[in-house]
Amino acid sequence: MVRVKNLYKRFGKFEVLKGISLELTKGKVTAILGPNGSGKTTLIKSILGLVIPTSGEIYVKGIDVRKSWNYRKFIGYMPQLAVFPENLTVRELINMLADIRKEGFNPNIKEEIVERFKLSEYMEKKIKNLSGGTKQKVSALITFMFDPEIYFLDEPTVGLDPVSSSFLKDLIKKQADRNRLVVLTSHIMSEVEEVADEIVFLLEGSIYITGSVEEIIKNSGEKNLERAIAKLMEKGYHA
Amino acid sequence: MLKLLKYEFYNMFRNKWIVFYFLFFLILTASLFYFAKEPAKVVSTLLQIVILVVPLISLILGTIFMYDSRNFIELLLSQPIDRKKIYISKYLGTTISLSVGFILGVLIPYLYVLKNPDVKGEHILYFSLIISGAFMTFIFTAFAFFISTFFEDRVKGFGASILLWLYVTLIYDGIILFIIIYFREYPLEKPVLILSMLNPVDIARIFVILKLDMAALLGYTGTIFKQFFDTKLGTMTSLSVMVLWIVIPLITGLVKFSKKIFKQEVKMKKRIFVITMAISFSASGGITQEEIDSNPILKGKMLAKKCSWCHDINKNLVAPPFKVILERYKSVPENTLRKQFFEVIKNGSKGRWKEWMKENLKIKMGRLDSMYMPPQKEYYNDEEINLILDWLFSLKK
Repeated sequence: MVRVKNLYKRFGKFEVLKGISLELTKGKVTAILGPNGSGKTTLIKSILGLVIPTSGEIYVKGIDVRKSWNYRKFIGYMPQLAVFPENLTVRELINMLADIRKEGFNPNIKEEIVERFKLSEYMEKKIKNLSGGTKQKVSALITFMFDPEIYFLDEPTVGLDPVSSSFLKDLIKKQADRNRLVVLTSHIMSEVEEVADEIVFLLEGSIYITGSVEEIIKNSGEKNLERAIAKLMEKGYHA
Repeated sequence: MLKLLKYEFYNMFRNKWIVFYFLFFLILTASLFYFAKEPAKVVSTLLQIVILVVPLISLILGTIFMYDSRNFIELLLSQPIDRKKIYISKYLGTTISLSVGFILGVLIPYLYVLKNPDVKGEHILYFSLIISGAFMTFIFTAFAFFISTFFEDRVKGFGASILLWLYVTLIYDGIILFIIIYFREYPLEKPVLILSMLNPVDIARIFVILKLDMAALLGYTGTIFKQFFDTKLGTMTSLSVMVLWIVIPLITGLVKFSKKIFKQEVKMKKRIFVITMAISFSASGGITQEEIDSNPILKGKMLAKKCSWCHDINKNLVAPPFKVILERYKSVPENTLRKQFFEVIKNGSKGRWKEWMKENLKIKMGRLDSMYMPPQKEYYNDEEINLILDWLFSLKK
């Protein structure tokens, strides 16, 4: 579904991505992990076309992302910090995006998420009056309501209460079962262990290790993912 | 694209800035008409203000809108929409809204005054004033968009906008004046004409002044100007130069925007970093690693951070606070209690606090069954649990 070949990105003197190649397949939840500044968000933004790579190739469903913008209709992106036009109400924002994007908009999914997140009482409120957690819920809603084939979720559960967060995690797992591709980043290892199938671990702009969650835990000889990753990071820093 | 534009307008017309802008011109023009009844006089005063205010407001609001919608632009960019269309619709949304605010503000008092049959209408004059104002809105918003695409940093962007405004309204005229005085022995009409064309504000000014029959005030140069601007060629040239002044910054900005890299806003990250630092610092009370290592109770406190997700020391979160737990078992000797707590932390427990939770946390019966203390043996070894207990019992004293 998504193929990245030899991706390099340099911001001035600082080389953020140093030759990343990876292939992401559908039906799986892939977690991109790594310490702060390891290039996780830059990698995702390169695939989305928000960051233009210095060199390398990216294909989404066989389409070269540098030559087209239309491939984004396959993608749902939930950014780390969701900011919307402040003067619109939640309903207006949703209608607007549904109107602009159209493709794949599924009112049933929308209704379900609105109900589960208890958003209906906020629908007529202006976005500037919403709390951070509610904004995050709105952000999740507009990502999922288009029923895309590929999801990029940048720290999706940050700021959510336990009930909403577990609903969102269920929703993520469900997408993989429906043969969608889900890519997420997170700093909460127990959450990654819960939802992810595959892990891509970035360290200083290169892929340090990749494999399934079970493999990584088993190979490290630790009890859980948090410990396994901590061990990996320590090794990485001392190497 | 039309849809994007539609929503851009929708957002704009709810923006209080646009309303202020409209009210400013409405009140200004109305009071000018109140003092000077003749439209021609009003236009000459209004012109001076329009020439200063319209570029300033277009530059500042254009910059504000562009920086404020950075994150929303990012959201739109991740949707299947062409980057160029986002830029153009944002531009049209801003310029058209600003122009409408300006035109209505200036036009309504004029139309009201025209109701009085004694007042002679000056349609062409008024029309050229409106055209100049609208052109300046389009030109300087294009500049504002270019500037805010070029500078990542908002403060630099504002600085550049203000500098540009000072340059076109004050500094440029100063330079022309200097040239005229310094080279007064030479025939200067043509060079000055060309120099004026290089500043959009000057074109707009001349465009209106010549219609005002005040060209005589400009002396010989004014006559030359009038000869030039009154011809079809002159009007066409000045109009097309104004269009060029729109197109050049607009296209440059557009090209820059299509290649722009959208990183997370740097400031936001810094702020979050500072906050996290502050939190972790205050949580640790500003203690260094060595101090923690040498003091077992502090070490226990650090380890108990994970516990604090559910247990506070005093407050009711989703589990009984530490002080409440200690209070409940205060009659049990410490050694027995220690063994019991050790077991609970290591392997978890369920049901011991059901009644308490029902009463103090107002949790419904059904959900109570799903709440329990999970086993922590995956996270802490025996030694660590003992350290946590050392800290916990130190709370008693």
